[in-house]
Amino acid sequence: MKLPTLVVKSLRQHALSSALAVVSIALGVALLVSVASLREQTHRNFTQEGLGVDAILGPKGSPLQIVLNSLYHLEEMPGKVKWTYYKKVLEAPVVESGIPFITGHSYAGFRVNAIDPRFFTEFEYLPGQHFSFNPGRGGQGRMFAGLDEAVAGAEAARELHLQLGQTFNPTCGVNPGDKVHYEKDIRFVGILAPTGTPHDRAIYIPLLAFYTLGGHGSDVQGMAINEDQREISGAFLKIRPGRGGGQNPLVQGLEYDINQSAQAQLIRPSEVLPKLFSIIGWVDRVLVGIAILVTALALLFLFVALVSALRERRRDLALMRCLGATRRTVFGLVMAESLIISLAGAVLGLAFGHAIVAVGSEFIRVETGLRFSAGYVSGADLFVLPAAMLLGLVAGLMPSVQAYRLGVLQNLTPVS
Amino acid sequence: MVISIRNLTVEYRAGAEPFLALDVPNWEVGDEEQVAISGPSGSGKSTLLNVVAGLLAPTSGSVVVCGTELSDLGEAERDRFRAAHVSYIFQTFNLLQGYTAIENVLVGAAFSHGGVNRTQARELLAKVGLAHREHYYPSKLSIGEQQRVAIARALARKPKLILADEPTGSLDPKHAAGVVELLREACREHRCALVVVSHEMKIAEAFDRRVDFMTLNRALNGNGGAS
Repeated sequence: MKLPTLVVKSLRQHALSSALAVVSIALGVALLVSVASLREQTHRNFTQEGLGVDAILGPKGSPLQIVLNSLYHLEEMPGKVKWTYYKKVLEAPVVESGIPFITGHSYAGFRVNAIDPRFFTEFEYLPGQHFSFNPGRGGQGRMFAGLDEAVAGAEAARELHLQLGQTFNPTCGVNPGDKVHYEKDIRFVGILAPTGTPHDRAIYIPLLAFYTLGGHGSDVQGMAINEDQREISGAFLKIRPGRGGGQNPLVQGLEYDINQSAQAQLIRPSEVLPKLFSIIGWVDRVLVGIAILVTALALLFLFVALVSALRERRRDLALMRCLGATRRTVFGLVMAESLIISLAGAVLGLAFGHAIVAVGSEFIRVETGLRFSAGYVSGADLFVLPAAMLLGLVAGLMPSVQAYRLGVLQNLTPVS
Repeated sequence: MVISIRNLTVEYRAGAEPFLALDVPNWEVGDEEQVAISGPSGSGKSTLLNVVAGLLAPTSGSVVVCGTELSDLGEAERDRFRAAHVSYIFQTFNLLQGYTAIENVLVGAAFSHGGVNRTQARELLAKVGLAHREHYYPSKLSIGEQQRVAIARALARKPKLILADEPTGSLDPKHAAGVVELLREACREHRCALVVVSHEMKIAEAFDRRVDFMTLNRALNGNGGAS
């Protein structure tokens, strides 16, 4: 009989407490792993989305609110930007192009944005990635051409069971009870291939269609004819790259000029989004704190289980010593049990943590359009196994030392 | 000689004063010899066996077992020595509780080189009349059966010396005689020496060489004996 067999036999001897220790460690590790994975992927998702856009021209107001409204289809736009001002910004040498948009409409819980058609050809939803209607990638139909046509994002189409040719009437607003534009039916002519971004959860109509929607009043409808009177929610701006493809330093001058004006502001998502994480950072810290606490409690449980098992096995260990096991051998047996339980808990926790991400990511995708991968390897994944070994050593140290110090004669022989 | 003792003393600390538990000037056991040590409870018989097994370090004197001077060895070396040369059978608590009979026979090999494989372990259990009990846990075996398993395990380690400390103390006289006879026969067959400690005269009478521990341990005359 080999030493590893003795360890397995011992684990089986107190199988219930060993299994409970494994499960409790697994729960703590799973929580830690899933929180770390979701946190890192959220960070990556948001910063990547932002990186697809060089800058946003928006109204005065909260920059974060404008980014969330224009890129993530959340919140509401705090105001409008005059078309003439937008055209003036486009003339700046540092600006390569612009895609104007109007937010503030919805349909069945999904945002309806009026947007320039170049959105589908020039906009990069991720760096270098353009929208597609290609059926091979999951798209259908085509880009809108007429004012009564619309394109749906993949997730919106899936959830609303949209078919090409189907019509709808957008709501003027994003809140329940807002007025519906029944005056004109709008027909879906295209469904975008999935992008794994919040754009999958939006519906798009032509920019001009916004001005022609019945019920907006004559002033808004007049904007369809008189371009100088138009207002937009904002515009995605593409900035000419600086020398060597880096950031163009002239953009700072443009930003200063726009922000000094009373008309609008220039927002760079890559600067705004980190602020979001600093705001919600405490949630991360609380979750990580809870996960660490659960793991610590699990290790305490392991420690108690080992001490309790040792108390039951004093005679067995003394007998092993009598059969020739050295003090180091019995120390090793108890320590090996601690390490096996810790590692089993860590491995199970890793698997369980990724399973939580797999289930959670589906909910998040449906709610936000953001795509999370269960296979994502976070920083926590990399340190879980070495950390489990270290903590297993710590938890097993005292029981192992007790086994090491165990008196053979006191636990075995009656005096004669 | 399998055991050769010269001027052995073992002292315990009882408060500030040392207490002499064992004082054996000269004692030997030959190869394959079978010896019974008898004496009253508390006379230090177990202490002697513990010293010979290397479980207890002598205070002074020379203890040579199987050609090895134990008083020169550290604790870990004595553990390894025991694993290689000496088997020990107790009155009770001989078996690991979470192990079946055959696993208890095999477990000795975990701490030493050599030992038996599963087939040989099965044969040893058959020899002590427990072929049909190999998968039984100790809790399902009678005390007598547990002692038989302990004998099988003692033999499985192929020792040169078996020490048995009151091996029949928990058995009725009928079973006690049977277990001792089994032990003696097994030692003869495996050509190993046997030292049995017992306070029962009937057990000692079965042996050709009997040692009265009251005579062997001079400490009993000097300070009233071990407690």
